[in-house]
Amino acid sequence: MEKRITSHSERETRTVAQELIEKYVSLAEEKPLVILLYGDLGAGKTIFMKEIGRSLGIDQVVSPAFVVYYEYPLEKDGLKYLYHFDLYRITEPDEFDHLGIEDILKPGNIIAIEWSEKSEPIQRMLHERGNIVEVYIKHEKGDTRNITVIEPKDQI
Amino acid sequence: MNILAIDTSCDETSVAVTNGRRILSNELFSQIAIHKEWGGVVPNLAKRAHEERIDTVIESALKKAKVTMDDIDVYAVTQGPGLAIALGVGIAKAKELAHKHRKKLIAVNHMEGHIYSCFAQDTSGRPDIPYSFPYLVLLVSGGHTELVLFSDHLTYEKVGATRDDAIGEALDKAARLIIDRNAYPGGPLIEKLAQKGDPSWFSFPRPMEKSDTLDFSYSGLKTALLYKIQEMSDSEKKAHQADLAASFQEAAFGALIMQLKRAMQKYNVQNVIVGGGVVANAYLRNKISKVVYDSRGTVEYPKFKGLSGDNAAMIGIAAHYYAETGRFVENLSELDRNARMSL
Repeated sequence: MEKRITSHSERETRTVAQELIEKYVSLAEEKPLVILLYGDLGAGKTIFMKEIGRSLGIDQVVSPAFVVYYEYPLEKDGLKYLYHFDLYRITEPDEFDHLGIEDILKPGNIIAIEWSEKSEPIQRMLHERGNIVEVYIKHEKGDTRNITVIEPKDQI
Repeated sequence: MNILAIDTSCDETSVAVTNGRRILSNELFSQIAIHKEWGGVVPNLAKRAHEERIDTVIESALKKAKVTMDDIDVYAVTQGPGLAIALGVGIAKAKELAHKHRKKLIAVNHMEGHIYSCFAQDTSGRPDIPYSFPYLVLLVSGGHTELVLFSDHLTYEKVGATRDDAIGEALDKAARLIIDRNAYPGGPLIEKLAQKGDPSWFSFPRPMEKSDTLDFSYSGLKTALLYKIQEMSDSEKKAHQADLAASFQEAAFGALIMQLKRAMQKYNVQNVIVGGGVVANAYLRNKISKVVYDSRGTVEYPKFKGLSGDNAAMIGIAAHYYAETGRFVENLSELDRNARMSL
């Protein structure tokens, strides 16, 4: 199912992220929860992502671009790690062969991927092995952002 | 006491032998050539390169230090922060060595290594810089931008940090936007280009100017650069490439200087330590030195070439202070990597 939300402020964007985690976090226990984030530079992905972290009890989510991804241990029952990827720098499809994503697609893990526009070479693997939530953030005028959330298919 | 230290936090496989603050050897296998092709670090390639190289690097560190494994009293390893699977390689090796040779192991935070790199000595114990606590520490690298109050050995309080991108990452991204998408590592390229440009050609917004915290933020500055470039014609871009680099660098460094000054005032601390890979930028060092000298303080930078980037010698030096106070890893099997370890 597709859900469209208009956010008028940082605070509203954060609420969307928070509700998303509350709603889908339990799915991660059975299959890894994969959050695909789409949006241009300046769209608001950083704020969205920081709130996903905060909702999972991690206060200091920062850009992982330098090392491609950061691993955060999660304290909640049934959960293992949050993996925060940034694919901004990825230019060659072959590069995905060396990222090690297949090794972390395991139950208990939550994998959030910024710059999912570049994730085409791994889409099939992600869909086969994970529960997928897609989030599209589009910057409109001023502080207004259109957020589209596509929910997991086999959602209970 | 001889310490053998290992750092595999990112894309350099490094092993050092240290004794107190003295560096007996500091060996490094750089993976830059491997990752350059991709424009940045590639996690699994980094892990594999660490695994393939680590034994060779250990051997050469012992050889350069003119010691054997029997002369090593303690092992030290970087526990984090960094790339998880890369950290794992160094930790596994350090545990193996400590177990095999029945010696103690010390887990070190990579960032405190960068701090202690400013007090490193050569084999004959020079330079002998006395510690004059408290210090304000500015850590600037590809993955980190932090202000830390360093009040005594191994005693830190993080007072400011980036909320999104690190300074080194901002410079990398700027290089991709200003030069081309294969420009890596971006910091040195921007520095070189900026030398020929006018830093006041365009006034980018100073990040966090209106904030009352000591934090940093580079995500917005990057977006501002993108918008500026988008509105320029191709010929304009070509003519003002150096000016863009100089103006961007000015705004990025301006934010560092601003927060450093604020922190010095707030905590009434005049002595400053600057560590991390971005210290290699001479323009930044000059700016920082000026601020510190204006307030009659002292400033320490990494003491030798090869100490500003990632290296194991700094891990060994920090470990020395842990050893002095008996802070060892109690149970080897319980030591695990911590990719987002904080001071």
